[in-house]
Amino acid sequence: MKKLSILLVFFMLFALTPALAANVGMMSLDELKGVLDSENLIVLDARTGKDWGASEFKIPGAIRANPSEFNSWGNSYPKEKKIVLYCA
Amino acid sequence: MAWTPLVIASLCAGWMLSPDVLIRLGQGAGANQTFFLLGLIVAAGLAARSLFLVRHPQLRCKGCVNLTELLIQGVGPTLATTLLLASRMALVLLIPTGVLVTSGYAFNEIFVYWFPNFGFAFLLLVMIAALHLVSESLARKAQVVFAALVLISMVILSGAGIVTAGSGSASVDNDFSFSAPTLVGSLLLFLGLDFSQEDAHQSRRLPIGVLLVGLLLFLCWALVSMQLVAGDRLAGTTIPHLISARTILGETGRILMGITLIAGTCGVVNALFHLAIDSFRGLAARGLLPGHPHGELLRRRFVLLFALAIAFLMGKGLAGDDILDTYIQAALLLWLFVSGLQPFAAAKLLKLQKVKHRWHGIAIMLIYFSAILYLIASDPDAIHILRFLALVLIPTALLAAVWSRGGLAVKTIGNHKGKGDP
Repeated sequence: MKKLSILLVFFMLFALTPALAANVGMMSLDELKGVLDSENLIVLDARTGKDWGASEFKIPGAIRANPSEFNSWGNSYPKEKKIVLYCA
Repeated sequence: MAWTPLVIASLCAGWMLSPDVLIRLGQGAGANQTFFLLGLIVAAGLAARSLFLVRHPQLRCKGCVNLTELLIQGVGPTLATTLLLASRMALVLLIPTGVLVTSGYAFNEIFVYWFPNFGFAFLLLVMIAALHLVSESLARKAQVVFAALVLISMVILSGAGIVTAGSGSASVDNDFSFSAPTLVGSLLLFLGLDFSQEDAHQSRRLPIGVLLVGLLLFLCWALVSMQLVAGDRLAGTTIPHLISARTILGETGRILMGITLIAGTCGVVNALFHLAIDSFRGLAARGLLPGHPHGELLRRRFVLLFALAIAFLMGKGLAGDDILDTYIQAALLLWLFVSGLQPFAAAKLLKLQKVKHRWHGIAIMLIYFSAILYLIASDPDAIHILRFLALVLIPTALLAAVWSRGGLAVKTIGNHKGKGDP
């Protein structure tokens, strides 16, 4: 019973994770394609490690933004623009 | 199929034909231009001199029928066990975690865009593990196929590159540029020749031949890359090989490079599985690895352990973290350390037989150790490298000390007693 309770708690925490990030908007690939030419859009490539290093492609116009260097670029982009980050 | 010359050659070339080496080669050529070619020749020369020592025929008389035995006799069972366990485990877990994901991207972006890159990385891992679980002999045969595919693709690309560069298409200005860390790092490109097989083919000619073919291929590829792609572009990218291949043959070049990357990944993962298992087999035979009665390694248990650990690391997202490259660099430095200790051990044993090579062995060891210190000091992540090395070496040393002194039999082959032998 004790093990089951622990498992349930873990499951609930796991299930709640997306809810904790609910205030971050998500965008589908098709949605992004539709607004790629927009001047109000900034696309940031937040891939790291091999996800960044091994890939030959990036979204056209995307700017590299390493999450570990957030302090150096976090305030560089105008907040009134739509900022899209992708990480895989 | 036992240890045929082709199998040995392809296993020795496993690391040299890997995607990681292609990246280092391209970046090094871009950062150092012609200096890098000189660096490659010097690094290959040192590796060749080391091979002449560690595979000296007189060492067989001392019972050093493989390189694990050479280290045990040369530097003592505790240090040998520590270094072999730590370096082999670090290599076999970290390098595959990185290269498998690299291959996943190559497959996804070059061949089948709808196939998930992560799924392909797992498929390759399952394939290599299955080869080893089904039959060790089959896994050895497969290595010949992997190495041949890389070699053929690279020869075609290099040949086409030479023709392109020779036809006057080369328009790159090769200014003077120099980067000491990538130049010194060329020593890391010639690792893997310390393969520890035990058989009649353990001559010097075969690994020296692999070394020469590798050097020739590296020189051609570096030269072609420098001729066709601007140096700063090569030095600043993480895919210099793909840029060069695309410049040489366009879409066909990308496909050939895709084959090289996937076959090279299979080759290096397979070779590292063999390297680790052979080293552990040598330790088990000497009673330095507990849980292996009668000195026979329970091979399949290790294959499963490696595969599960790599799958876990990939699943946890280590490949998507910048720290993996730092850990891989640390694992390679540990490999270079072991490679530097081998000629020293050989020279020490040869001295007992009145063969005068002692200073060569010490000189190679000092050069390798100085290079390691320089590469650590010049790395922006030096602290992480040192922390990783301490984390890997200290517990392993404690275990090795307990195992080698705590009642486990350490048999001595021949009439020589190694340092610390009972």
